[in-house]
Amino acid sequence: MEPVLELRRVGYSYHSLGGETETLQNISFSIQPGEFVAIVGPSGCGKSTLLSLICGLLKPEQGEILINGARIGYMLQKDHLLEWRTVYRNTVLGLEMAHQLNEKNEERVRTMLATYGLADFADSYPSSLSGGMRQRAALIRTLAMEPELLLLDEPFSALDYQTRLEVGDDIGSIIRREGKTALLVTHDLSEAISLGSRVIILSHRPARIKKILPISFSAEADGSRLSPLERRNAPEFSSYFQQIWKEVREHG
Amino acid sequence: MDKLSAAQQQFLSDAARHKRNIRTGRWMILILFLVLWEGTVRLGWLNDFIFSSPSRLVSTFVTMAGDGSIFLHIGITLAETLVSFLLVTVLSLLIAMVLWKCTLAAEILEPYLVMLNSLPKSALAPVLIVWLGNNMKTIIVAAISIAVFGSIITLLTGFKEVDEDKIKLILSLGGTSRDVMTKVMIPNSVPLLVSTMKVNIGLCLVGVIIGEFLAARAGLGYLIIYGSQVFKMDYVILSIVILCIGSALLYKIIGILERKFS
Repeated sequence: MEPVLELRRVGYSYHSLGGETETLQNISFSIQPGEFVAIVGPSGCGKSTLLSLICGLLKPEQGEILINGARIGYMLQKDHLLEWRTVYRNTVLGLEMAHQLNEKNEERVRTMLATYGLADFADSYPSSLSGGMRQRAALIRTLAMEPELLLLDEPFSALDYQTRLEVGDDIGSIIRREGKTALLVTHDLSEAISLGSRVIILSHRPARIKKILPISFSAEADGSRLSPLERRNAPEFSSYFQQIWKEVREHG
Repeated sequence: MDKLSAAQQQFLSDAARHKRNIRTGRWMILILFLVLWEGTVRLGWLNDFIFSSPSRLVSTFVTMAGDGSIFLHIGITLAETLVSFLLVTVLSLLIAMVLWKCTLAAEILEPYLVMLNSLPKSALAPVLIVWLGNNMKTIIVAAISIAVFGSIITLLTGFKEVDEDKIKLILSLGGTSRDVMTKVMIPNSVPLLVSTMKVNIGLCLVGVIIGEFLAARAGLGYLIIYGSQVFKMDYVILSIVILCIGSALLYKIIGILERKFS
């Protein structure tokens, strides 16, 4: 199968008058359709930079990024719902800007709002939503554009722990159900293991790939899928955690 | 509805009394001021030829209302203020948008904007008369010059404070820089725009009065200068009282707008 995304020896540095900071070094990996890849690494190691590069907001200084024409949806750390728009008008923001607000698309967004429990709030303003609902609205805004590849930049980090587990579970299932390919960036190791089918471990700055770890659970051997919460309770979970923890902790 | 607890009732009645006290206090000051003014004049402690008096103001107002002249003066000042206010709002918004887009231009122009903003604009008024003539154009330009530079600086600063991630969001959803402007910058800046307008309406009024001092044949500013020259202090003080009430009203109207938009 042709990969949805392929990075070849990508490098990037930030420049300031005080000097150059090498952020990413020689990053190569690819993602197949339907995969859920998680990238973990210490804070400030350049994970978000990597997503900005893939999304095209930044240009790589070395190497190349092949996207094969896939539409990309980007989910940022905070939901950034616009407070002066209703929830519905927030979710169709992308469609509106692409001048694709037709009956079919509107219907699709309405259906998603209903499926994910936001139908009653479609005409309210974001301030009346809980943190988890806001994040779901933000996901629908991204999904409305029918992206083939979803980039998730620590989308749960702004939530409190309990909501975070719930929303992670929620969003993980939504993405699976919609059959999307996803690339999640996080510093939360258990989040990466509970959601990803592969975990890419980055080093300290300048970030290089230390290891790529495929994640498989014996309970999923028959082709079924465990929910992120079920995964957290599966026997393999803690051994993966130990393995990744060791990699992240080792310097160099 | 549930029955309110005693403590809640106590709280509500305290709050109501607090509000009542404020209102009473405000009226008391006004009444006391008017009574003292009228009383001291009647007792001969103050010369009403110089200090006028509430009753003289009322009779002056009635006479001028009779021939309609006071409404002409009020109308002209009000019209000049509103025109310059509107122009200040539109101009500063447009210029701030352009400067936000062209960072280079903004950085180059910054010291000039700061200088023009802190320049005492009343110093410009005589120059404007020479350039533009003894007419309404001068008055409106004077009013604009007072408010516009500060307004540009405030709006530009506000634009710069818009969350970078909101801009990133628009771009990541495939929006253009025009979308950034219309979908994020402008709606995000509405509260700021309204609070700038609140400052500007006052500044425009100042500008109009300064302009009318120098270049007018009608308007409240003209009436003040005319009154002081022919020693009819009733005109001067009546104009000042009307300006007090008028500026409070204009401020209030924008306050209502503000509550609607934020």
